[in-house]
Amino acid sequence: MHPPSQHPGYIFLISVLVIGVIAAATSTSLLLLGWAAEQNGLLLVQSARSYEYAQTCIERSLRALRADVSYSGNETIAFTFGSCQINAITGSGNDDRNICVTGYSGDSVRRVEVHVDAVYPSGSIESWQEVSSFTGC
Amino acid sequence: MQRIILIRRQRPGFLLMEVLIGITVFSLFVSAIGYTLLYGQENTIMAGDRIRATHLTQRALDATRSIRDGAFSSVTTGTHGVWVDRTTKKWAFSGSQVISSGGYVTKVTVESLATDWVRVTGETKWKHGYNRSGAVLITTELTDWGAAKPVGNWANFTLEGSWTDAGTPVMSSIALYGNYLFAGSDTSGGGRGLYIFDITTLTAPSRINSSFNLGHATYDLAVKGQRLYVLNGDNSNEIRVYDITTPSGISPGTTVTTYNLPGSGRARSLALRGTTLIVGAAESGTAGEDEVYTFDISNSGSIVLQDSLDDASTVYGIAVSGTAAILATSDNGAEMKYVKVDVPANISFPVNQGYNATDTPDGTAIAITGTSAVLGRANGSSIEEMLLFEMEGGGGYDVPPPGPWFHEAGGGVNDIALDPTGCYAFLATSFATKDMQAVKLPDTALPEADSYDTSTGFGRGIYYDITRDRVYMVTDSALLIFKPGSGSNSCS
Repeated sequence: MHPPSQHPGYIFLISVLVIGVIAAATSTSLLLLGWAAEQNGLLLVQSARSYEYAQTCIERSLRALRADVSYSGNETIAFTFGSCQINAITGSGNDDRNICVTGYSGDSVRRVEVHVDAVYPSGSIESWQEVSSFTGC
Repeated sequence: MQRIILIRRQRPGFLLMEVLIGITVFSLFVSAIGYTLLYGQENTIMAGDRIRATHLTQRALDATRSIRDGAFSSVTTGTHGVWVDRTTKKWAFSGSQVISSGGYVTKVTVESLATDWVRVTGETKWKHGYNRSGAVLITTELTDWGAAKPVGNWANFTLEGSWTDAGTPVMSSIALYGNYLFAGSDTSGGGRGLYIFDITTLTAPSRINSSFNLGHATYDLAVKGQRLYVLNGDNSNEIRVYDITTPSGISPGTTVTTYNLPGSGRARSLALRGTTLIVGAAESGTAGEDEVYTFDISNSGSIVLQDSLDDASTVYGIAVSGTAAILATSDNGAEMKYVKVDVPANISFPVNQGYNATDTPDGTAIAITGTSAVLGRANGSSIEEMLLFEMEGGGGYDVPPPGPWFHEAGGGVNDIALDPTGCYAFLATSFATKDMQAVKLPDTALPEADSYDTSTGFGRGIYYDITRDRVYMVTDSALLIFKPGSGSNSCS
């Protein structure tokens, strides 16, 4: 025969509290995970936008060079969700020009570097790649 | 029993209240937990939707870029879906949108900004149930930067502008930097060695920095970046490099570096191959005085010798094709000669060394475009002075047959320029009445397309400027600028 409990309901109460804490922790984790996933999604969109803005700057630079091979870059172009920046274009004349651009959108930054073999008679590109830092400009 | 009844009487209804409050608190707690779970899950799912939509949108933009690469005219204005065409196996526009599995609707909208410039907006929308809808919008721009620029009709060219010196500097080679043209010259007749022109106004080129005097004859010039490489007759500084950031300010003080070639004043020709400078020299029988040199110029402030080759001839001209430097030489057994330069620190004459042209006049100039190489020679009574070689391999080292093909220039060919499309060769010659000649290259009969007779001396140096579709030629005392005639060329 066990003596009757001196604290009836305490086990139940503690159980409820423990389960409650676990449930709260789990839900908080899920909440944070969901928020993080949402941020990832938004960041991915920003990353894609900044990349396309960088590509836009490259396209505009190539077009400007075709219009005037003395075009030197050094300008920033604004868009609805960000901007892109064209560094000073290296080289001169028709051959061996380096274009370095950076696309921005939100917190995302993407850099693209292009080495142009020749602007004319038709655009000839030696390399067109995304880089972590510029080497030719 | 008496006491229990007494307690119940002291807390009437409290147990019910506690139960109600407990249930309420518990319900709120469960609701909060449940909402949090659902909210978190919903956020995760919506993020997944957005990521997938971003991927689809980017793919649509990449597909549009691919369509542009095929033909800019295929990027038509309007709203399109993109798909891989079953027939061509290439990306193409199809309908006004594309619905992917999961109900994602993707479309690209093309707006024209100019005839060679469009804005492309990719958009993917989705709606999954009551609360899961959204859209991703990404914009880019495309231009027709790859379009070929046609060369004008040089079968009917005219003089557009000129500058004439009062004396006879006997100008020679030409290099271009933006709106500035550099011309080398002799010094024996009062020439300054280097002349600088502003050609912003093609009809009226003007000489600038006229006080500058190099003091030595210039044999060849080249521009790389903001550096001008001057090959001159200075016995101890045959290669001089100038900073040409401000051409009007060139002075001895803007000399970046110099190099003393073995021997005295032997430098004759140069060419650039990436970060390698190739220099040809006058023939010398002295040990250590070679005729072909390669230098590393990757650092624009220095010239570092890589290798050299001995040869029994003077190198009057150098052009580069693939792994080969092709020389115009005085060698009676090989006026056109190859040097393997793919490893600048270890250059060599390949087994197949070059071509022995008829008779003995020297090879004086050479130029290359695509797989066509044009050799110019000194005047000879029984030879044609211009030879066309076809380098089918594209990397040099090919010798006739087929070819070579010949053009009678009527005088020595002092310099050659080719348009990059391979339509015309432009010759600066010593033919008294045809100092400048345009020769049609696709026709192996190499007919003269047109010519020009100047009273300012022989054609000494020539340069074709593809960006302006102009030819610059220097003579004994003038800079001449030519423009093509109306209409299109007949090369295509």
